[in-house]
Amino acid sequence: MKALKLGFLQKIIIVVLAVILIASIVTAVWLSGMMASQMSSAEQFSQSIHAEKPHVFILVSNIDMSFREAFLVGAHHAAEDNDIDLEVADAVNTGSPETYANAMAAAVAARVDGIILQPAWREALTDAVKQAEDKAIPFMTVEEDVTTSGRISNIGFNSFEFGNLIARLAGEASNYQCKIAVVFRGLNQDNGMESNLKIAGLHDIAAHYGGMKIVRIEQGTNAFFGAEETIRDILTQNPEVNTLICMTARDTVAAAQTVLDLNRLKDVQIIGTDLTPEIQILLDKKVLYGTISRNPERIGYQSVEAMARHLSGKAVPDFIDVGLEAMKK
Amino acid sequence: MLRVLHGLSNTIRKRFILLFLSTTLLTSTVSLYIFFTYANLTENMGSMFATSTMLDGMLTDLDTANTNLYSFLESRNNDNLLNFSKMADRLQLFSDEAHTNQPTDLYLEDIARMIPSYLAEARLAIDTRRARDPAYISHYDLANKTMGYIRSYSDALNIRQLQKNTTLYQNQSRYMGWLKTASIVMIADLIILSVLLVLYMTYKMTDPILKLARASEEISKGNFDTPEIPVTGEEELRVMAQAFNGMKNSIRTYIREIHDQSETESLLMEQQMQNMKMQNLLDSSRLQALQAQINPHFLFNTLNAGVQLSMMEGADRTTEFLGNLSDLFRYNIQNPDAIVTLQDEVSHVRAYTELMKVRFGTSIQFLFDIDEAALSVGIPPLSIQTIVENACIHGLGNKESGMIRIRISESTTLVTISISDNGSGMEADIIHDIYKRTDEMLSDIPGKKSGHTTGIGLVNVIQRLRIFTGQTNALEILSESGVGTTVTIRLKRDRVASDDNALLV
Repeated sequence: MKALKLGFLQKIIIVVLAVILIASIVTAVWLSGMMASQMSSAEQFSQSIHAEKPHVFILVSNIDMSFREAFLVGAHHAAEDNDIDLEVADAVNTGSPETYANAMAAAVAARVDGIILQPAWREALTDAVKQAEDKAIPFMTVEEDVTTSGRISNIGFNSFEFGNLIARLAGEASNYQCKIAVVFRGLNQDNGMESNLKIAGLHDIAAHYGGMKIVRIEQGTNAFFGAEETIRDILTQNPEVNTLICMTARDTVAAAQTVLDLNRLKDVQIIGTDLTPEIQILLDKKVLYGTISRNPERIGYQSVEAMARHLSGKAVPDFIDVGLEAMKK
Repeated sequence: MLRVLHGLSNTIRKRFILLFLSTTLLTSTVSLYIFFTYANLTENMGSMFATSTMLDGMLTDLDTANTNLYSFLESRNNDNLLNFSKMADRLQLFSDEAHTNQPTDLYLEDIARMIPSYLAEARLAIDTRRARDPAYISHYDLANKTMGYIRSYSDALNIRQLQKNTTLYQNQSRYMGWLKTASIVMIADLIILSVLLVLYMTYKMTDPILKLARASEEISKGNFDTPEIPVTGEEELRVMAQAFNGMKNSIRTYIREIHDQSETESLLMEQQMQNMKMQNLLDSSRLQALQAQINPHFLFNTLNAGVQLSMMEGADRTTEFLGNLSDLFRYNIQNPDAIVTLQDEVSHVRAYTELMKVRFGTSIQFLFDIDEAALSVGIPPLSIQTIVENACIHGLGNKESGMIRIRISESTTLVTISISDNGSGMEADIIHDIYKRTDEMLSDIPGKKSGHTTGIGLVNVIQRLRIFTGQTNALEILSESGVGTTVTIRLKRDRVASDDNALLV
């Protein structure tokens, strides 16, 4: 009986050890597989690319970072949908005219199949744009435009309409009795045509309603906390301002923080631009009266899609309007 | 092949082969697996830096090419041009290979595409320089810029790869740690499992053999009652166990038969011994009788002559005396193996008593109380006379007078003969000694002579009566010192002299 029990115990131990052995082998195989898989994916670097797929280069400024981020989300979705290898210029290379132009020139030197360009520092880009034209590299512009170039298409919105919409929101917020300060951030030193159109649209509505006066127009800055300082200056130097219109998401958030810091929330209405998660929260808390969404993600998607269409030989409209959307709580 | 399969079907061999193969295969598989895994990982680790190495080589070539380009543009030295051309070929080869091998990163593709751009501008610079066209400067400038792009893209690619490799290395290191733990567990588990398997299988295979060995040892000691060896395990062991059990049972049966035969032979031998003892007694009796017949015949004849003489002389009492004496001798010299009737024995006793009366006169009285109906029963001769003689000699020998009563009575099954005297009697130890001597003589081997002489007649009577009746209590002695002795003989009623003659002969 004793021998029988011992035998049974031995069998149990052997079975347990066999299970442990199998489990450790399976674990080791799994780990090896994981390691091999990691190595394999590492060899593929960040993207799986194929020589047959069009190689499109995107150059978007980091001046309006929220626009850039949302734009790239849409662009990548479109690249996946349209089988495009998308190369995006690093953000660090898009913060100054030189690096911006160099990035464009490098893309041209690399003879990419297409370039999607947000034309910041337009002057600096002149040579690179010319080289692209010389080498027959198709390029499209987004948000702003370079009408003198041979770009294939411009994808964005109607800037004048943008000015109209944001002005109407400001009028609604103050019953069309307001003194407005505007903070915008132009991509070019001359503020560019698109910025001018936005301001023109704003003036158009203000002129229509006698109670709306544009007291101050300020260009934002990329310096750290520069936006906050600009807003603070406006509100302290022009205490009559009761409506702030911000034309970038970053300036919108900075305006809200500054108004809250100055405890002017009761007598200052803020009209913002774009709909980032932060702006959504500010809207929900009624810190913002409203915002105009430029749909940067849609711009990004449609620009890549348009380039794909062009590269496949299909016709692309000269201007693609993604539309604007006024939003408020 | 068939032989191999046949060999594998031998289960104990199969067990051993499977055991060794399985442990060897397990160990080998695990060792090989670990070896190849680590070899693969080492190779993969090496490949992590392959692109960086390749880019470094390309950049070196690019620098050399650009230096020689500049030198040529500056001095128009053909050596520089040759060096540039050599480097240009290598760079072009790099670009072509990058395209052919499907670059895995857009930066690498860009670099591969920038190289032809650089070379194109460089060749334009060389051509315009040869043509003494100042445009060579702008071409060189563009080539130089393109080289800068290539370098910056290479740097970016290296940085990106370094970042990825760092993350990858961290992940790989983590997995390596787990893999190391799994390998240790695997090896330790395998060692323990192999040892246990070998122990288990060895014990399982040798246990029946050990049982067989123990049982064999027991059997060698003569213990055939060992339990049956269980018929389990491998085929060969089952055959061995079955054969062993069969052998054990066969031996046990054989030994039992021998034992039975031995017992039978022993009984037969004992029987033969009894027969031999009886024959010995008979021979002894015959010898004694023959010895006794020598003088009695002579005396018998002499006595007959004396009877005739006394008759001629007219001495009637002498004639009667000698006649009784002659009858007594005649009875004594008859065949001692024959069985006589109680009638004959009583007649002989009467003759004896008459002689005793002549000898002792009236000092001894003989009383006969005889049931005549019982006198047909058979009895060994001289049985009663010997007892009466003992009563006269030993019982009444030392007394002045006495009485001896001979009584014969019968019942339904028995005839009882009692000879009693009122003599000096016997001590109990004498009676015990008589019985003892009787028993010893019955159990003595043939030819062994007893050392006793006193009471030999009574012992002989008792022996003969025991043999005749087949009962140990055929003769009973009751005696009280100073009172007397009674000897009782019990005979079966149905035994007549004619029936028993054959038994003693």
